[in-house]
Amino acid sequence: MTLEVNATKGNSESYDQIPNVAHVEPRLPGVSQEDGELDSALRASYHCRWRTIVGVLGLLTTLLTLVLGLFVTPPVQVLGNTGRLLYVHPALAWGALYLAFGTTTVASLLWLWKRTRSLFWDRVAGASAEVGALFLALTLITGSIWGRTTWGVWWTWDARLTLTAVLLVLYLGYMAVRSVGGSPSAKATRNSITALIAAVDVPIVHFSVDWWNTLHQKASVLTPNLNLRVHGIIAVTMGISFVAVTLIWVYLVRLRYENMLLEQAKERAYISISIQERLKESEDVK
Amino acid sequence: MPETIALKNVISLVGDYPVLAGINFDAKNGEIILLRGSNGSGKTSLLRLIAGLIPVSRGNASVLGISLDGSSGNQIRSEIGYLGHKLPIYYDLSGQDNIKYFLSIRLSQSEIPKTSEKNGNDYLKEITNEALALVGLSVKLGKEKAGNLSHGQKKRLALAPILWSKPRILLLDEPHSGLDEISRGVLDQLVLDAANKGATVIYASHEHGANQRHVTRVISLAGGRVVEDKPNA
Amino acid sequence: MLKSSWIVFKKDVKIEMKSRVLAFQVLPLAGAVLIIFGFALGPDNQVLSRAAPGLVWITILLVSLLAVTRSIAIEDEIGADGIRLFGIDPGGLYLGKTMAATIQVFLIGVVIIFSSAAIFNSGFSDILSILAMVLGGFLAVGALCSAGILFGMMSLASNVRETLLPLLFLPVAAPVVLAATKVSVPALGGSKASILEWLGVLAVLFIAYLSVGTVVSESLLEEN
Repeated sequence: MTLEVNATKGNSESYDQIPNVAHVEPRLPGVSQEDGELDSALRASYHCRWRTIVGVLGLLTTLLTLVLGLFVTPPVQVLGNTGRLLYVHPALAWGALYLAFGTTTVASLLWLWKRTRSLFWDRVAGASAEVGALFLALTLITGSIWGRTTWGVWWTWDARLTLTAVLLVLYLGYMAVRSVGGSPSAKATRNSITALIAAVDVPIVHFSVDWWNTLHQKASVLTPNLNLRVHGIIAVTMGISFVAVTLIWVYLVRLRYENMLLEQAKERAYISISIQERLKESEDVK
Repeated sequence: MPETIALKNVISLVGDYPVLAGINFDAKNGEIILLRGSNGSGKTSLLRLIAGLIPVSRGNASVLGISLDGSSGNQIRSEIGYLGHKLPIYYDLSGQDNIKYFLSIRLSQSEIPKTSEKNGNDYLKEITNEALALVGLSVKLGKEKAGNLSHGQKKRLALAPILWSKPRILLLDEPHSGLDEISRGVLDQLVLDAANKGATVIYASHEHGANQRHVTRVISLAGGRVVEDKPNA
Repeated sequence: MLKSSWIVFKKDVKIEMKSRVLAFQVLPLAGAVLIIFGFALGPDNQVLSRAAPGLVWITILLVSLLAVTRSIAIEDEIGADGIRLFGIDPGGLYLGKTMAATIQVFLIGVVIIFSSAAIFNSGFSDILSILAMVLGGFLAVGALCSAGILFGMMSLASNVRETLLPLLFLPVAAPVVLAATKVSVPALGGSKASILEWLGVLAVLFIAYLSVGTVVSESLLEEN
């Protein structure tokens, strides 16, 4: 048996367009479905230009939020300058709780559903959860700062705070599961199941802690106890902050996704090398 | 004679390590095949691949006429007996209870016991003793906690439900290790009986010379591939 | 699936009868934990009786974790290979093990609750509250074991163990412990507010975790 080695340029047409790391690698004899999927994903990512555009837009909207939030908007009523966290905290929470973990859940379902099964979804789910966990940690930190200046405590056992903390642990667990070894499809199944259990748990935790203790402001930005009204430039700035978080999320997820592709290509290259070493072992014995 | 096992250019990856690196291998009914090779040559992996415990990453593998790919496992599993390094025994249960458990799992999947006019429990007891007798364990030993049995006895205990279900392929990984002369003889006889009834027997061993009388073919492995395949002289 | 789950259930119960690991090791440990909680909170009866429901449920949570670990360790004796080779139906295995663990932990839980009522001086109120607590306790233990055995089977299939299991298990267990504590408050002498609702929460949790586990366990062991 011989190994097909695509070390030279243009040896195989399908490999022309793929970045270096995948290009140099020797191919495994025969092509599996997973292999084909990785190849086409690598090709697609090489042609992808929109990531950079999204990244630049994300940066610009973030800067805009910063300028508007710090210098243009007036101090928020009652809350004063602390109220400027309005331009950070809600958007981050939205990005973490709905955007990121929603995507992870849907992508995990799409892997488990046989008709849409593709490793693409597993990568998306993982990338989104990682970014989500980052946003969630930032949400907790900004929330804690807000709590300290508003209520005088860093932490309070209120419903949403507790939920957020539990959720963070859930997703850290999910990321730990992702790092466990196995074949790519076995891993994807395991990951998806873990993500789904976490997703099932979210409404449950939400419901029970909500009931358990409700001291916090209601979820809407119109909070009766603070009589806070959002309008005019404040609303506009908040809106921009949501756009910024979304763009940055898209950018980071895409970046992480491409990163995972390269990791897998590297792994495949590594496998090919070990196969060659194995072949040498058997040649030596002969 | 039809081929019970046919492997063509099979690569098997465990994690990202190729335990089998392009193996070609056929086996027919009634053959007793000895696998030889140093540690890490792929003996155990070959047996595990045939048993459906590790994936076929590349190439074609068919066992008993069914192609091995993730989903096919359960159809042929009842036809394959595999005894690896780790003996499938619950140490806190008695030998009888162990056998009873595995046999009742087997029976719950097939609809056979309905043909027996005796009630389920009696039948189960009967076949449990049958299986014990098959491997030469007394009923008294069968009542002992499995964890208290000697290594050789444990091995025979683990074989009991496997042999009882008359597998068409019997895979044994280092079956002789830790056994005395007499136990080896018993085991070889069991294997020979199975092969005479048409089963394909493959076993791995790194011991040379010992108990090769019945072996029909010797295959040497290295680097996850077959390097030598010859009939036993 | 139900047939094989019954076979697995009987086997697990038999192993516990023979080895007595839960009865002679985990139960005494639970007692020690309760006493240490007592030490930690000091001898103030009022504080202790107020804290009793929470302490009881943290102890039961610990017991569930140990019981799940033990239950998976049993299966580890034959390993994921053994399970696949003997063609043991994963769904049946899951259900059988979950039921066996639930009943065992429930029995230990009953002992914990009654002894804590004595040592924390919380006493018992009316019989109805006690019934509610027992029912709620069963549902809660069922939910804990359903989630625990599922994660346990996951770790069994993928050769990771011990440390990952609690990390996954505890956040999922959090709402169960919360609801179970609430259900136990009236029986241990507290207020009766919204006990029915909390019972409902526990029932939903139990059913949700058990059905997710049953559906999902099939695909956990199918691949390697």
